[in-house]
Amino acid sequence: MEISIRRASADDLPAIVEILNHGIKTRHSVGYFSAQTVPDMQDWFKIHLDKRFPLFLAETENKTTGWISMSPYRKGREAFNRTGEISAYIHEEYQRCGIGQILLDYMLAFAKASGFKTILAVVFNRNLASIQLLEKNKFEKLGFIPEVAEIDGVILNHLFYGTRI
Amino acid sequence: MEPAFKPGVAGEMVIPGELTFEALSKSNWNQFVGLFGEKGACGNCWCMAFRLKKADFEVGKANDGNKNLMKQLVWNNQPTGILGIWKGKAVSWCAFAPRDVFRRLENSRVHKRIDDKPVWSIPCFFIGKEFRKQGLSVIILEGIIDYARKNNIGIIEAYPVIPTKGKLPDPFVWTGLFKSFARAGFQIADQTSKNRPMVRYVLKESSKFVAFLRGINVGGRKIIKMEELNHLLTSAGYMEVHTLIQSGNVIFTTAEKPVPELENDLEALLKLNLGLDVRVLIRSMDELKRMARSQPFSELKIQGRSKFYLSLLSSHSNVKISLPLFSANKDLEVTRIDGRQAYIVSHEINGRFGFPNNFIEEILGVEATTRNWNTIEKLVKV
Repeated sequence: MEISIRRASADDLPAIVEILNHGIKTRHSVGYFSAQTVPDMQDWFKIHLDKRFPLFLAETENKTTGWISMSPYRKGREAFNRTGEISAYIHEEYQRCGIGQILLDYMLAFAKASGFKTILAVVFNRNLASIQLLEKNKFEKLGFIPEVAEIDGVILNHLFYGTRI
Repeated sequence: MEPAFKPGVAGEMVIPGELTFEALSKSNWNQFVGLFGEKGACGNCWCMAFRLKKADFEVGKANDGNKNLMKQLVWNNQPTGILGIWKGKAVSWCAFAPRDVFRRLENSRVHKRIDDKPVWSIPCFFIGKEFRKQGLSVIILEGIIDYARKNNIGIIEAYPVIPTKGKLPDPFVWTGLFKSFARAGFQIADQTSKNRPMVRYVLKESSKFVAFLRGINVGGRKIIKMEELNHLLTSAGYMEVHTLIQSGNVIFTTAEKPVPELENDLEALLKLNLGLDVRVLIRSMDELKRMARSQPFSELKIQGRSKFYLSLLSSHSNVKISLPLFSANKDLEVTRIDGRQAYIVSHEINGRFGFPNNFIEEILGVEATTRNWNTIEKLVKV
């Protein structure tokens, strides 16, 4: 199989939401309790129309198999202009085969070229796949927010990971 | 409060010297399945993407279709790829088979064949998640080269990616990075696409040969189905195998090697797999074509009905004879002996033609196998 990466447009929202919904279903990430629809996510996607905050799609065999997004951290406050927060989701059938790594490489190269200095990623403490990916790529655990969420009666913590680029 | 789960260490560091390589077979199928996991490496691929039509591949993603197709190939002893094994566990996979197995490559515009040399292709790589980022790809490629050398494979071809400088990184999983291939000694063979070159590692140039099996499918002894023979050679790594008629004629391509060694190899293969002691005589296709061009038959003036034969001899004969040499009842006439072959005319006597093989073996004192000249002409045209 082959893989390619491109920037998402509003037309890609259905594929993006489908992959997000899998993350919701496994309860390891996101934080929504029920599947989201395309209209639900339209507002959220608007930020990614901004050149500085793209969402990149991974496609294999013309199928969207994952995505990574760059979002502002503390939106609108100039002091945080060089800081961005990333999120990535991989299609359930295509996990563990390197797509997350490729998306992350791609995003970090983009971020560097676009003048970002600090990249943050916020994950639940039980999201092992993301934690491993981040640690393998020299993200450091910078912060720990205990008992910040509850999913199905389980209290979850947030981990803040970050790297300087 | 500490996180409930701590991520495990990314994986043990593989000690390169302890990594061994073996072709996927029935006996290591379970290790292969262990490496590929529930998703067949990625998206239920099971390494079938390059081997199937796109539509068939899509169908195969459901209900273990692609997995079963791969299993079928393995159970039929077809070459599929090489596993890297460490501590009894498969840590890597490299698709590796004759290029024509990979339909997707054969239909590719970027990776069109650059010549008709038989090559084995590496279209895809897969390293177990916990073993990535250890720099294993060069070691894996060296393992493949070593395997190819031991199995008489002449040329290895692959299709890696060269990341474009100054731009965002190109995604490269599965096909591999050019720099790994370059480090293992591969060289660019074609660059139709600037950042998707075709690379090759040439171990040996290869050639087309014809094997003639002696004394099979005659008189009800040593019966070998040609289909079985074809399959046997293909699974032993011989390429472009074709058989012609039942008398035991096999065309194949393999890395260049002295003919007596090739003869021994094939005899051992037949003995081991079919339990048959068969003498195998081999000529390169070039030699056979030379024989076809310089044959003595068309210049003969022959009265009555006759047939032409070529006897292939197991070695040069020390017996001095003067030509033409006739058999006692004149039904056989040896017109030329030329190195390891004899050209013979069989004349019709009382409505019957003599068959030269026993005669030629007796007078020359060497083993031989004989074919009708028509068969030789057909062979050189294949």
